[in-house]
Amino acid sequence: MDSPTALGSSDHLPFLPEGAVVGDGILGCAKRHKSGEVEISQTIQRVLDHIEMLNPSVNAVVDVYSDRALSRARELQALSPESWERLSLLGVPVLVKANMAVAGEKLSCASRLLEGYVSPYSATVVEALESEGAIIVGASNMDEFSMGSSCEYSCFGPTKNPHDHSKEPGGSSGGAAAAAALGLAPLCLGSDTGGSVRQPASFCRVVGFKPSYGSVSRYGLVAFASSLDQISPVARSVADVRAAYSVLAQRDPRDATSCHFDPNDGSGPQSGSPELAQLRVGVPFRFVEEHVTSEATLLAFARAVEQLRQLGVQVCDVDLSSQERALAAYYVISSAEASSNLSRFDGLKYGRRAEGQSLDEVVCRSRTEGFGSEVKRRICLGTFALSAGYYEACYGKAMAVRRELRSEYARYFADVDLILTPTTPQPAFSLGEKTKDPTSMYTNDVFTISPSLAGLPAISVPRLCENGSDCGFQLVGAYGADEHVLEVTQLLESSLWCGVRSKGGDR
Amino acid sequence: MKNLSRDEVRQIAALAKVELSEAESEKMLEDMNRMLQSFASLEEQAVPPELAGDARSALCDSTDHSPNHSDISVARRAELRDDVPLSFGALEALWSVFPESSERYLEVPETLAKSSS
Repeated sequence: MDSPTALGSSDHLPFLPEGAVVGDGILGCAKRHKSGEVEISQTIQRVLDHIEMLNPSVNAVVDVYSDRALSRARELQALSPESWERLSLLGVPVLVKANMAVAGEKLSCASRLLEGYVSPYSATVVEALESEGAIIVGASNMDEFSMGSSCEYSCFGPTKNPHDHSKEPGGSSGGAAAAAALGLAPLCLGSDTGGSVRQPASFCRVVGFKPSYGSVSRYGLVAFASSLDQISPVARSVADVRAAYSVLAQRDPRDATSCHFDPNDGSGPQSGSPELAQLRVGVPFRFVEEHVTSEATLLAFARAVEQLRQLGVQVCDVDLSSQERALAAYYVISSAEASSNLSRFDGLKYGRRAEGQSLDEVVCRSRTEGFGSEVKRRICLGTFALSAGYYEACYGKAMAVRRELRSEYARYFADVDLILTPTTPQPAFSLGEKTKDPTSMYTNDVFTISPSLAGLPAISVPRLCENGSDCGFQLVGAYGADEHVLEVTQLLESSLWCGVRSKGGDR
Repeated sequence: MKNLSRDEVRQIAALAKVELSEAESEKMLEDMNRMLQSFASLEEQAVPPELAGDARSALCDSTDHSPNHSDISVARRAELRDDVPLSFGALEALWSVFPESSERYLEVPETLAKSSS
């Protein structure tokens, strides 16, 4: 068994402090406000108190917007009950990852380079949540500029896994996942580029959903890899994630890559109660067997597949041969896009500026002093991949792999509804275990990067292995079938991911 | 893919506008070579023509100076085309087909519109 955590031991989630807000989920929280059972300011103050009490042990939250949150709570409280009825997330506290713009608040991306920078505008997702009555209470920790898989590359220091403080929570949205697991807020927003929400959700035993590329606006999200980034909700249940997604998913004219998926346009799987016996789930058995490195994870996965069969689900083998090259393709493409996106950080327009005798010196020194080691590594890799003479050998080939992967997925989704894999090849690892060798860290993403490259919706749901370690499972759907993925996962959540309740029945 | 040399790593860092100390250069060399070796799976990947090359390599590598050569990239053709000022008659013809202007020539993009706070 894992060593006891500061708060709980063998439960799926740490037990919640008395009076924790998250017990009823997002919609339950809003309902309590609408009925007048709880005042919004009380809820927000309780959340701020819990952050103050619990955060020092895990470092999940790096900025708290107390004044803004309490002021907003008072404004909402003063509205009429009729106005309350129109707000689906009335008074729901939300934590956003430190790479999302909130007007008037610091936007750090966990980097020294953006030290002191205050955002003049809010991200579309922030505006969408606030227009439904949600309250942004703070920013969660992350790997610098979303580059990392362990939340150890942050200028604010690492976040610790709430279940075992000697382990990392996953990354780059490790703060969001840890905060959700601790119950600091019922909804946390992360950003997922190659697994940055799904992997920490798995390690922290919460639910993380990466929507189809384009379904959630990226306006106001500091870009890492523009063709891969997606803002993704993290919460303690699929129902909460689904409620959040219904608010976040909208076409945004300020994001040229955003689009709207109509679940009723007849082009994809239809919403409505799916019958488990009609469900077809594909599993890349050979790929799973080759890449899972933990026996406990493999056993738990095998048991889950057997449980699906017993529920009447048709399970079949899929062979995504392009997946073997997907990891390399992802790191080439994401690094290339990152090197381009991060070229804007030059110390001249915003953020930290170093001294220098010439423009070039100011730019170089600002970037050298501001960026951490992992960011520099990825920028250099991306610069190399795009340089003359290597462009075709690196970037061209990676794009060809991406195209093949998309075609393969499209072919399989003609026959299956969903594809199931473990979220990660192993449970959460120890702090510092993989920072010395970047390639060993990168292999953690082997199951999550393929859906990212293909722009597909993918959700990670938690499960405990027999030895008590975490083991998330990932369900991937066809492009645009986000509602279907959420619906089916919610159906399976109660029957398949059983035995995962924390003390007192809280999720 | 062949291993990078120390000089190449320094060139890459200079292109990326980051300065590396000796120790950092050594670490970067080691890390990048390890990463490139792990990308060996890409070596066998075929590249379709539309993903091959890039504008810069087309400019540097093309040796055919014929303006009508179909393989020459658009960039190369732009370099070869002589700039000839448009005649007054040509300008008149252009403006005559320009759409009627409405009260405003430009819609202010929403990205520049006042954001809520």
